Amino acid sequence: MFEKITCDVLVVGSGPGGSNTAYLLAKAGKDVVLTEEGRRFSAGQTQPYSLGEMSAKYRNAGITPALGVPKVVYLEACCVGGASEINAALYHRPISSVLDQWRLDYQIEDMSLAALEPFLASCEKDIPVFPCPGGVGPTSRKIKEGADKLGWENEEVPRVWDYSQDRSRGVRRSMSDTLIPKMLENGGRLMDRTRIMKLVSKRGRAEYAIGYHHGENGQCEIVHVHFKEVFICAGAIRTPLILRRSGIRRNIGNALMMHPAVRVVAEFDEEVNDHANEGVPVQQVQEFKPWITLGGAYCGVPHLALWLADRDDMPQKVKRWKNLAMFYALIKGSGKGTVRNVPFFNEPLVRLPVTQQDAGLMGEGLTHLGQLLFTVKAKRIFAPIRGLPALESEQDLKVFEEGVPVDRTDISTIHLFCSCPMGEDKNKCAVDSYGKLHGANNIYLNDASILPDAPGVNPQATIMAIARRNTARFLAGS
Amino acid sequence: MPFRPAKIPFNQTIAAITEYYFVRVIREDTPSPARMSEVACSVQAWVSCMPAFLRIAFSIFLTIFELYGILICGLPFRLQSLPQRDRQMSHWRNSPVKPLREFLLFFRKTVMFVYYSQHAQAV
Repeated sequence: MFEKITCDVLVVGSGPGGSNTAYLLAKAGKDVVLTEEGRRFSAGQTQPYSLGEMSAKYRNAGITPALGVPKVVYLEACCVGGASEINAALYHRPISSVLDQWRLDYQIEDMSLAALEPFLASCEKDIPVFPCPGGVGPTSRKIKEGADKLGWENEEVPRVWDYSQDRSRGVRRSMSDTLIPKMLENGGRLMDRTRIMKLVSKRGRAEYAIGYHHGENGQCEIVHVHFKEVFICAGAIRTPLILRRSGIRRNIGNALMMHPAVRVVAEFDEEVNDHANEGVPVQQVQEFKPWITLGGAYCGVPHLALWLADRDDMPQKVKRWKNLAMFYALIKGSGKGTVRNVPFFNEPLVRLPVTQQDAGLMGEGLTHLGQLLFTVKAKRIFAPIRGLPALESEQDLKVFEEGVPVDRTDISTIHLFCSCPMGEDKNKCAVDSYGKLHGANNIYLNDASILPDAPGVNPQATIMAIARRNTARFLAGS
Repeated sequence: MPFRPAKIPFNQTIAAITEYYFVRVIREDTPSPARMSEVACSVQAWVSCMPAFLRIAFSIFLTIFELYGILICGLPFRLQSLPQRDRQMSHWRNSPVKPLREFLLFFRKTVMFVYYSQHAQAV
């Protein structure tokens, strides 16, 4: 089976970058086709953070480790809406000093908080961004109490969330609930279950994309999408994969970065876990940003079992789940990894190194987190380091003085970026200051892959604002 | 939401390892074979979702795991008695070879996550 489709602009990937791009292009009257490898789910179709959701919405059901020492587990979405379907939906504006540094280090034109301000404002107009009107949950309150006692700056991070029906719990408003319907209203077309494999160029110009479309009945057909311009927005792993398969390799997939996160489980005398109502805790400690962020993680019973699995007393601990909560220290990583095609396989080989600096920062982060938790009377803390006994006092935090032992530490991340960095420095950048691929006429990248460095905050707002900025520039030029 | 169908061989080995953790770690008051089977099926299906090259590596480890059982007690893991399984698991858990330890830890975490996902009401 074979299908040929034509359009003005093809947008590959429906995450925050791709959805914003496709929506703005459709709104401007362009004939847009938005492709997404995963399928479309309606709101509430899967239970958040459940095994079913992992199977349905995560790539490889969440089993995606990067190679290296240590093996870092990273998570990617594979569904319409992309990462906005599975992340915490925390909306954090970028840090001004970080953007200024990017401008200098990568020679990015017009990159500052002031320049992004109108695009951030337009994002916040198009999607609901609110703090919780009913007050934060018990895990968030613990973070606030501890940080306040220690005199650390902390705040409730607003979420892309709709609290109009329920002031305490609210519901997630992902791209598939917000911008994708708006794109469709403006005449854009969505092709879900369509995996774009590569671009085909003729005479120095990309002409069409080759992909596979999987039908409802499991049948598969080859699709050729012919376009005038193409935006690749498939995320920090898939965007370089598509480009490298297309024979485009200069500065592609060579500088993958992340926010490595280490999680701890803390045990309290009182009940602190109300995951069914609280969801993801929204309070964060800002005191050590952008290098270290402290916060709380979703903490259902299966998640506790997973994080405590190597302890023999795990079943007993899990029975007291209401007294256990999960917290994280997330750092601004400095290691640069790679994304490479593997011959005969669809999946890429991803390498994510953890540097000595990262190990030190994670140790510092765990020390701060431990101080905070013992300040609010945590009885013991279970750190993610194999063979390390539970920590029972601030004295025990000295084990982190030299950093964490990376070969024994469980490190995970959902924030990936920088695999095709933006900027005018052609020695290290893949695309120009506005996402246009260096040396190409009609290929643009507009997702997390073009961030030149780790932003040090939840990246969704940064990705969306930069995607809007680049799309506005593209529309002005065309 | 159903998982995609399993594509990995050694399903019986995966079921045997799941059963081992069921008995030795989860230790239900009234173990249910149906529940154990349900968890084993989900673990098999989850493993089948791995990227293909990892699945190949995983299959190699499962082969070595079965062969090791034959080497130390003449039976593959899936046919061993509980004390024999204790011995083999202890060897692998305390092995100086890190990938062998990691292989078991991955299994243990997977079984725990799946079990408590399906039976959180049990706690």
